[in-house]
Amino acid sequence: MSENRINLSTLKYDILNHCENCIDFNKCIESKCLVGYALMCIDYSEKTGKTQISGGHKMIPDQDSKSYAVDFVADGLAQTCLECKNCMDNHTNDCVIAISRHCLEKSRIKKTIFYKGNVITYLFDLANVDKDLAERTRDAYQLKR
Amino acid sequence: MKEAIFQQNNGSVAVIAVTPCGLIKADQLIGLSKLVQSLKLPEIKMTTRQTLIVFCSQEQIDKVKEGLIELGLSVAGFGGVVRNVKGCSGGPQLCQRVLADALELGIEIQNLFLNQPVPKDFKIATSGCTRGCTDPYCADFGVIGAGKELFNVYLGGRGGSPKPVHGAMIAEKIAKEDVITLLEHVLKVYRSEGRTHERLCKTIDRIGLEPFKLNLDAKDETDQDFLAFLRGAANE
Repeated sequence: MSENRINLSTLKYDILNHCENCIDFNKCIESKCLVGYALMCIDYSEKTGKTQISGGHKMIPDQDSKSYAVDFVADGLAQTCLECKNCMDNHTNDCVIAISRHCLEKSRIKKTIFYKGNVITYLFDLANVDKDLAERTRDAYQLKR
Repeated sequence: MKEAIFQQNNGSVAVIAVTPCGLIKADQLIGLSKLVQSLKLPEIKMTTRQTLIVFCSQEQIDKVKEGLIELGLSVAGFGGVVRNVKGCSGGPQLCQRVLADALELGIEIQNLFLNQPVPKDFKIATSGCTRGCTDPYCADFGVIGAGKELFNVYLGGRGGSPKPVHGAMIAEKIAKEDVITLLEHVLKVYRSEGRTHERLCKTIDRIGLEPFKLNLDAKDETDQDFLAFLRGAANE
């Protein structure tokens, strides 16, 4: 079943790269930062092997109002698309990939996109909210593949 | 309790054998093979309800029954009893789509409730995810995996009928122990409120779903280890 495992290292690397440019770097309160929280979830998932973090989605810190660069968000979203296992009916918002994706979405568009279980539909729905972000995400996704 | 042994059009008799949610061990398969060969029986049929049909003559019924019991299998019940459980391959070792261990739960339910008396046949299906490969939406009591060892329960479905009925959800994201508690309650209400030969969906039509519901304590699903992990990071 190894081909079904989620590889979080690239996603973590992409996000950490952004953190280094953050004004709050080294004094970040992860539970109050969208990106910091996503990193915490990834760390927890890597340490425990759990891809489902029960209750993790409801603790996403909505109050984070920092501004995030569109390319960073698009890059991260593309990576979540790559790691997504297209669970379709089995998709849950407590999946570590879904939590990361929602953190990134909120950081840019201040809302989350209802994920219908596959990447193509997701990009289409994202385009209905933020066409520029969707196009950059699509381009980054194609580059990463 | 009546046994599920039925006359067939060609003169043979069908003896219905129960398995634990369709699981058959290798030595049982070998034993079955030897049994049918020794009795010169032409074939065995698998059913949609995860039972096996052994076709034999009237005179061979006792030998087939004895053979099945020796193999750790049993002859199914018939009429107003809780039937064998249909369980999907939704165990952690098997289907990759599994959300909760429906196979283990199905076997446990079957061990606890098989052949208990009820007004009319009562069929149970467990499924590890929302796809419902075992048709839990059309079972009298359908259990569907909905998260880490959490299940949704649908009540009052009916399949194998020209008028199929989808069950209605009566419990959401409950633990395995609560599924069993709920099933005990449902059977109790059905026995007291159901009329003779009245299928559960018809009883629900008459008296509604409310009497079948149980006020199970709401569960906090939050991963406690994750909370501790967050607290640990905050304290660093």
